[in-house]
Amino acid sequence: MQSLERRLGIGLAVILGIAFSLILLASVAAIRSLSEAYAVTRLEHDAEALAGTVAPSPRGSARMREGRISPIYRQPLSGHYFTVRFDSGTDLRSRSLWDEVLEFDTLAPGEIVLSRQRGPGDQELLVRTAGYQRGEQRFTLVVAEDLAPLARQIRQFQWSAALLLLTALVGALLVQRVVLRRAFGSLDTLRSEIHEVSAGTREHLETLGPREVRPLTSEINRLLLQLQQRLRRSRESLANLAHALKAPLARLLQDVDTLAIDSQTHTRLQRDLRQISVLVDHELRRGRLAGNSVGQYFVPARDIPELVAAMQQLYRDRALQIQVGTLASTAVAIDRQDLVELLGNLLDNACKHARTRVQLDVDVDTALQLRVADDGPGIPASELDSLPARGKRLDERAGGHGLGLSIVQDIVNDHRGALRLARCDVLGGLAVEVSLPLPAAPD
Amino acid sequence: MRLLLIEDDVELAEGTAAYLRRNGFAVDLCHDGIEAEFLGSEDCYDGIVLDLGLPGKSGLDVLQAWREAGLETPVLILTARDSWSERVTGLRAGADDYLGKPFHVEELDARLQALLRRSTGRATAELTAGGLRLDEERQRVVLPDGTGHALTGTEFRLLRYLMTHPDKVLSKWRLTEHVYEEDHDRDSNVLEVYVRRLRDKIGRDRIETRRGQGYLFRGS
Repeated sequence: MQSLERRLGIGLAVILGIAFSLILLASVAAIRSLSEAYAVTRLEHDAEALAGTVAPSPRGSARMREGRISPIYRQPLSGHYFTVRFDSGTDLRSRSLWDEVLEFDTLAPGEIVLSRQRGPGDQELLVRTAGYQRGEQRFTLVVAEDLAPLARQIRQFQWSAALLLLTALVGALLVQRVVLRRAFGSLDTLRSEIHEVSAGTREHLETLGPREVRPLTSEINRLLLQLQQRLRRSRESLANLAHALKAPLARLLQDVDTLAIDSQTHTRLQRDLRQISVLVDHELRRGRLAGNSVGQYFVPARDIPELVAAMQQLYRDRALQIQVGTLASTAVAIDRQDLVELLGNLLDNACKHARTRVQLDVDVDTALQLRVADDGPGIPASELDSLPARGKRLDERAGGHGLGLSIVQDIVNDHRGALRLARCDVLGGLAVEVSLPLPAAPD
Repeated sequence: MRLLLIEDDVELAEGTAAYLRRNGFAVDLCHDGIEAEFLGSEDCYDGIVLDLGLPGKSGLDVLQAWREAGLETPVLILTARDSWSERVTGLRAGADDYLGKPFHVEELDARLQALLRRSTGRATAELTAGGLRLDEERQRVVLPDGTGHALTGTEFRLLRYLMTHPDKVLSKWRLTEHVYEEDHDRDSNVLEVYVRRLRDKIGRDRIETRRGQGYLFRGS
C-alpha cells in the first residue's frame, strides 16, 4: 500500500471499529440484564401484593379482594398478567388475560421459578411462578410481564448508540486526516526545495521537515554536499588540464610560424592546432556544465550591462551604438557563466560585423528569448536556411563570414534550446535568435 | 615603443618577445606577479601584456593595484582563461583589451598596435606627422617627396616615439626609457648617435635640440 495516510486511516478505523463494537455489545448486555433484574423485582413486588389479596373464603373456596388488585391487571392484554391456582384446583385469572391461559406447574410453598413464555398476541413474557401458603390456604401464584416494550427500548438505545459511535468513528478519521495532511504539508515545502536543487537553483535543503523525516533530509544534504565537492574537484581538474594544455598549444602555434616548411604543411599544422584548441575549449565548457551545475543565476539587468560595457570598451575605436531592450531584474534559472559566454560571443560577432548599430533584446516567459541583430552585411538568404537545419557546426559552414557561432551552438544544445539565424528587417544585417527553455517551476 | 610582457611561461614569453622585437617594439620580460607589479608601475612602458595566471600575485590583482595607483598604461590581458565572464572581469578591472590563448603572434601584434595607437589618440592605422609617413610593417619612413628610407630597430622605435608625441619636448631620459629595453646600455651619447642618424634620413630641422631639456619633433 503506497499511501501512508490511507494506511493510518484504515488502521485507526479498524481499531476504533473493534473498540466501539465491544463497547456497544457490552453496554447493551448490561442494560438488558439490568432492566430484566428490574422487571424481576417488580414481578416480585406485584406477586407479594397479589398474594396479599388472597383471602380465605368462608365457604372454604379461595377468592381475591378485587379492590386491591392493580388496575393494570384488569385491562385486557395489558402485558401484565397473573393466575392463582389454589390447591382445591380453582384458578383465578386476571382479567387482562382475557381468554389466554398461562401454562405452569403447581409449586410447593416457598418455591420460586423464573421462566419465559409466549403470551397473548405473541408477547414475550417473563414469568414468575411461586408457591405460597396463607394460613390454611396453599396456592401457586403466577405473575407475568410482557418484556416487548423493554426490548424495544433497548433496541432503540442500541441503534442510537451505534449511530453515535459511527459518527465518532468518522469524526476521528476526519481529524486524523487533517492532522496528517498538515504534517505532510511540511513535506511539500521540502519537495519544492528538492525540485529547486535538481533545477540547479538551490544548493541544499533549508527546510529539514518534521522530526521523523529529519534524518532523511540531513542525509540528502550530506549527499548533495558530497556530490558538489566531487563535481567541483572533477571540474577543477578538468579545467586545470585544459588550461595546462593551452600554454603548450600557444607555444606550438608560435613555433609553427618559425618552421621552414612549405605553406601547405604550415596551413595544415595551424588548422590542426586550432582544432585542438577549439576541442579543449569545448571540453572545458562541457566539464563546467556536467551534472547540472549549481552555479550563479543569470540576472539580465545586472549581467548584460556589464557585458555591453565590455563590448563598448573593446570596440571603442568604432562608433558603435549598442542598444539594449528592457531587461528583467529577476534572476533567470540558467547558469550565469553559460549565458554570459553565449551573449558575449553573439555580441562580439555582431560588433565585428556591424557598421554602426547592434540591437540586443531579452525576453523572459516560459523560455529565455535572446535576439542579437546588427546592421552589417549579414548572410545570404540561401545560406541562412541551410545553416542550423543541417546541424553542422556553424563555423565550418559559415567560415567565410567569420561567425564564431560554434560555441553558441554548443551552449544552446546543452540547454536544449533553439538557434535561428535570420535577416534583421529593421537593421538589415544578421539577426541571431536564441531560445532557451527555463527549468519548470515546481508544481 | 617599449612593452612589458608579463608571462610565466618562459619559452612562450621569449618567442613572443622575439616576434614583437622584430616588429619594432622594445620588450622587457617578467615572469612573476610581484616583480610585474613593481616594473609596471615604473611608468616607462607604452603598453603592457599581462598574463593572468602568474606566480606570486595574480594578474588581476596586479592590474587592480596599478589602476588604483593611477597608472594609465594600456594593458592587454593575454590568458588561457578567456571565457566571456572572465573577460568582463578583466576589462572591469581596467584592462584595455583581451586576447585568449592560444593566439597568433600576428594578432597580438595587431592588437598592440591598435592599443598604442588609441593611447596616443590616433584613429588611423597609418602614422603620419610633420609630412612624414611611417610604414610600420616594413619599418620604413617615407618623406613628403615619396623617397623612402629603411630604419634599424632602434631608429624605428625612436622615430615612432617622436612622431606619436609631436611638438612636445621629450627628455633624453624619457626617450631612452621608451626606446630601449631595461638591460640595455643607457648611455645618453648613444641616443645622440641615433638622433643624428635619423636627422640624416629625414632632414636636420625636423628634430630640434633643446639644450638641457631634450629633443622636440616638429609636427608641422
